Amino acid sequence: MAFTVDGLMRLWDDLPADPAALEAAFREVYADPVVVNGERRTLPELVAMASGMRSVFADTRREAIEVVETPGHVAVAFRLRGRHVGPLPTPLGTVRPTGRTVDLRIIDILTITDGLIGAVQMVADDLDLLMQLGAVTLAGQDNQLAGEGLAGSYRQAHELGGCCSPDLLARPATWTGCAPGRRRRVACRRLAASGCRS
Amino acid sequence: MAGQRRAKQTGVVIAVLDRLLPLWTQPVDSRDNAEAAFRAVYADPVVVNGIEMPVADMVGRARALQRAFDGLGMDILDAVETPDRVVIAFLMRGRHVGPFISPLGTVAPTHRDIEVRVIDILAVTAGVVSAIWVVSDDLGLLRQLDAAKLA
Repeated sequence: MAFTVDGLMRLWDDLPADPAALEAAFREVYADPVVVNGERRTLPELVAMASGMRSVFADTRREAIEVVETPGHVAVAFRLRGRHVGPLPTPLGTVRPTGRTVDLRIIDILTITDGLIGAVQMVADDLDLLMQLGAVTLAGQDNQLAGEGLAGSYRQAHELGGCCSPDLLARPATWTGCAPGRRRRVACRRLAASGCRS
Repeated sequence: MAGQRRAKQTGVVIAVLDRLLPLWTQPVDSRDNAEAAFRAVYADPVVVNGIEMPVADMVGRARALQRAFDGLGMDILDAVETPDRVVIAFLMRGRHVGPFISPLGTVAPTHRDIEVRVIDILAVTAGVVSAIWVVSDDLGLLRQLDAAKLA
């Protein structure tokens, strides 16, 4: 079966429930082992990881937003949306289910050999994911912006390009024009948490 | 400035990287006209992750990055090129010497060496970068600085 980005997205969105069928489906797409960010992973390890993710996020849908294909390589930027329904293991610890819907940005560069993915360079915006879950904060800083409180958030939002009107600092009860840039979103989310409304 | 190590690339990749990477690794304020230098490489505005960004803001980003990290260098891990797209995976290295404005807030200098994995997909139109999809491992960076914890 020829490799396609749509097929890859469907595989991860609709993982077969039967373990044997799951591994067989992965063997149609991935080499064994596959090298992920420079580390060799056996196919059963990859399948176990995918299976584990199924219990963390429900109703997942992947949407390719940019695809670049050449002989031997496919790069794909995509969004992963899903609902956080199970314990999420992270490098900082485990995040308990929040029930929140998340929208994660990921870019993969896939090396295709004989029709199978042999290597992957990938980066996921895991920090943004944890922020969407309200699960992360700064640690151990004396002069962090978070310590500056709401005024810091206003200032950051303003400095990051017009989320807030220029006179916002003088009128802290209102805030308008919140565009969906990530850092802007962060600052605006803090403002929203403080009770402001766009 | 730290060097740039490269995996094998040819043509479009080299042409773009030769112009683009120095903008981020060499001091912005050492240039007579930083915005002009950026405009020679980026469209104005350039679309970053779906949002239009004026080149002046890109210059500001580069300046903030260089204020936060000394000895910036990029090691290219992988690259894909077509006539109108350049995709690069790289490790950005540097030393954290100034305030780092992260999505969580500003992190005071730790003087630690850092290494951040980044992938960019660059759309090239009429010889300049017109749009970028980018994801960087910001969580990994904050962990290296011991600056993130679960809430």
